[in-house]
Amino acid sequence: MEANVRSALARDVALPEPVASRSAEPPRGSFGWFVRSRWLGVLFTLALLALWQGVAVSGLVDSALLPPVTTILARFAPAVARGDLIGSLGESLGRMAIGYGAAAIVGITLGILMGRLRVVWALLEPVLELLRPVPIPAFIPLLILFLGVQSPLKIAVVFIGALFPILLSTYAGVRALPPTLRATAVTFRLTWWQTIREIVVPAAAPAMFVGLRTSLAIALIVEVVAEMIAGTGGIGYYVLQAEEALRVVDMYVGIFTLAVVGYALNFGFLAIERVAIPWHAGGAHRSASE
Amino acid sequence: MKIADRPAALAAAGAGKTFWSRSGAVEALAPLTLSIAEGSFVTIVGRSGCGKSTLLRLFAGLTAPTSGVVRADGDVTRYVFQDYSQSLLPWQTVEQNVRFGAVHGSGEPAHGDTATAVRESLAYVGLTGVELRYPWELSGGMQQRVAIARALAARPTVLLMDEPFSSVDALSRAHLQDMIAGVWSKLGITIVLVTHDIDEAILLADRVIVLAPAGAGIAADVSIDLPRPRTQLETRATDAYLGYRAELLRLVLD
Repeated sequence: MEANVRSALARDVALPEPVASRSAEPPRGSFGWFVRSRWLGVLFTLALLALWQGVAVSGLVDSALLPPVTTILARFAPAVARGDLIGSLGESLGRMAIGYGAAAIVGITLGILMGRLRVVWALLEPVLELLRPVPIPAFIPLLILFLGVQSPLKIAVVFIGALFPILLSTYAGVRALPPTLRATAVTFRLTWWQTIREIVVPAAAPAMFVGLRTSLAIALIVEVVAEMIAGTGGIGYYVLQAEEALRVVDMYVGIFTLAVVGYALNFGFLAIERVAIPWHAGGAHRSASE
Repeated sequence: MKIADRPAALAAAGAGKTFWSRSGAVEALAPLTLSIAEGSFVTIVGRSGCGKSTLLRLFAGLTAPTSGVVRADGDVTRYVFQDYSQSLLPWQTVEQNVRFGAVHGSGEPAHGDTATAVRESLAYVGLTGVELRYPWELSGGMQQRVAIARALAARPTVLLMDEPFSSVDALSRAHLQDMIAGVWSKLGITIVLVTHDIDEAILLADRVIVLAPAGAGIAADVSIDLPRPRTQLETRATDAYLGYRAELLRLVLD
């Protein structure tokens, strides 16, 4: 399970775009332009789906296990019309939002306090280092004892899973405050609270966003895992139930939905990041021309 | 009244700084006694490791002396760092950075006052038309101008500058030197500037303090009696200037 979480994490780290070559950009619409653009990847994805379709239709693989893509897509309309797909998804996202939101508030607050107050760091560091390596799903049986199998369980699991990346990257960002920036706050005689609000938080914001984005992917993963282990509803339960009832096409519908939702969450997050920390998204890599 | 006879804006009495490292005590600055008159322009020179930055940090309250006392009024003292890119706030525009200085200045400015302070400070350092740019979009020389404007917006009476022009190119440096000399004569504030550049030290100062190597204290205290306004071309060609230059070079190199 931990391996799953790890690989999902690795997947979430976007590959940096290769540095543009010094030679002139190939003209838009040309073959040279196309193989450098995102459309190459889009086309490749479509080609993989076409391959899948061909394999499924030709009977090379049992189509009961691997239904044609068209069959899966055709099932979306009735699944949406029945309401259970959207309902399950909404249930999962609602719980995720609560757990993730709480983790963001607690993680950022504790991360800042640990970074600025030595006593808080000394108090919490051993506990955090003990809890952090435990795979999140290992907490689920324990939490079931206290919280049952309903929503509080899943919210707690998402909270724990999302907390550590947010807390640790906030802490790292606060610790990485340049000494000159700290000295600037001193020479302008900022109070402790002014220093936090006007210097520490904006300076550590890019690091916080790294943690928030990592945790967003983890939140979706552990929500689905929790539903599969202790399911009463939600999109993870929907997938598991479909598989157990041999409604294979519905299972694929659930998986497709998760892929699209995961992509959309990350896409939305990056859009927010561009607005919230424009100096980081746009400027940090640009060098000033002397 | 001559500047040297005015009351002290900054004073150190037996002030020294010793750091403790694994190999034992390291004296960054031997106890020294020094008084800097209100409205004077003092430069501090000396070789690397002589403790000139440590002395400035003592006056700024960025570090506490391990012996003696330092007298400075932190409310009206502001500091310009050598490393402007790490000192300016990258998430704020030029205007917002300077407003930061006005808001965190001595006395509480009225709301209309802040905008005036920002505009005036930018005019002092000769920056217009870049208010809405981010610091990292500007050249090094312009960034340091922003940092100086931000310090001035706080309405200080004492400005401490730690090698403010060492990280900019030679041409920008000459312009910045002329600019800070103009600001000093216009505002009548006290400026203490640390530099390793003998020419810069003479061109700007009424008084050059030479620190002895390895934090051993004050080696010489030289009054610079050159008429103002001084210029890069004429002043630096006079016999008096060249005399100071030879004297100070001998002191620093010894």
